[in-house]
Amino acid sequence: MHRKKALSYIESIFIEENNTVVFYIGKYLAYESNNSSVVKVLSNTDWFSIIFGLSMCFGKKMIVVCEDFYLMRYLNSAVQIAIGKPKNIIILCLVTDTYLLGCKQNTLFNSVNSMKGLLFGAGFLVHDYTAYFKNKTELKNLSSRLRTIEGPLFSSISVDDDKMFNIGKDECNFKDFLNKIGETHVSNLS
Amino acid sequence: MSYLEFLRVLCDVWGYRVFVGMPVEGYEELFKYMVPEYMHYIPTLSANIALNIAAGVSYGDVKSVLFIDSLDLSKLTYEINELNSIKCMDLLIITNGVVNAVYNEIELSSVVGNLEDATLLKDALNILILKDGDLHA
Repeated sequence: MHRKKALSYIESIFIEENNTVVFYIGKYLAYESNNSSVVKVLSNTDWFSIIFGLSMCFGKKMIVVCEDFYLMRYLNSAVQIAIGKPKNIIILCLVTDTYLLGCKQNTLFNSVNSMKGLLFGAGFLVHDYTAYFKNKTELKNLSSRLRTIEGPLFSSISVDDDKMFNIGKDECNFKDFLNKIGETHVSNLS
Repeated sequence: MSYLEFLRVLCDVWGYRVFVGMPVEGYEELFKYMVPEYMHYIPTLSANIALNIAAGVSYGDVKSVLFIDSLDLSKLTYEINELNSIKCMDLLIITNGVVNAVYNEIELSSVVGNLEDATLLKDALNILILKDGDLHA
């Protein structure tokens, strides 16, 4: 399955939900989506930790969509999330095992003997949703399941390795997101 | 000031709610009192992760405290400035004064040197430098 299609499926599951925030990490994911409800952030910052911090203040479910290279780069932050056991964080990792820059360098995701075992051992509930993303009927089953499931959940979704060149400027609307929630948000931490 | 009194000032007087970080050299005793059962304390794997978690909490409009060694702090000044430019963080960084770190490079912040008569900038980034003898058991 192509990444763009996988992302549109993810959006169709979550975007109508009021109590859910979807984060896309990295410009390649941001480029594939025109949906303004998605929070798009750059891949040069440790968003796993920032989102973990945010999740403590919001009751909302945080869906973090990232690519395998990002997970490998910030693997220790993912482990930190697993240890913290936040019930409202779900990480969906699109796996291609290559950097999407037109070069064929591996991200080493598949070189780890058992990435899922590693994350499970750290404390994640680990699933693989690749099969669900193959047809729409399966996806319906998944969507009802994902709406009720509690985190911390990590799921990998294998997608096609489509190369992208010169997709332009990085897009980040995190500031808008903060401004938007700042008007309505009351923290539940005391 | 005793360790317990210090934690009481942080929570009740200054109103900080979430504590993130790693043990600071010279103040190991303080971390004996910081147990997750009694307060929102998150022990972290690295100073970098601690900073980002504290930033996330601050973005959620909850006052947070970051415990960090001055050696790590001097390496993270650029990142602190980056995070503070996204949204002004209501964050208190507590560090030891072992190394003369470049506190002035952290923008939009105030450095609090004296614990006894400390006044913090409201809704902003503050840095508290603990000195020998500031805290005791």
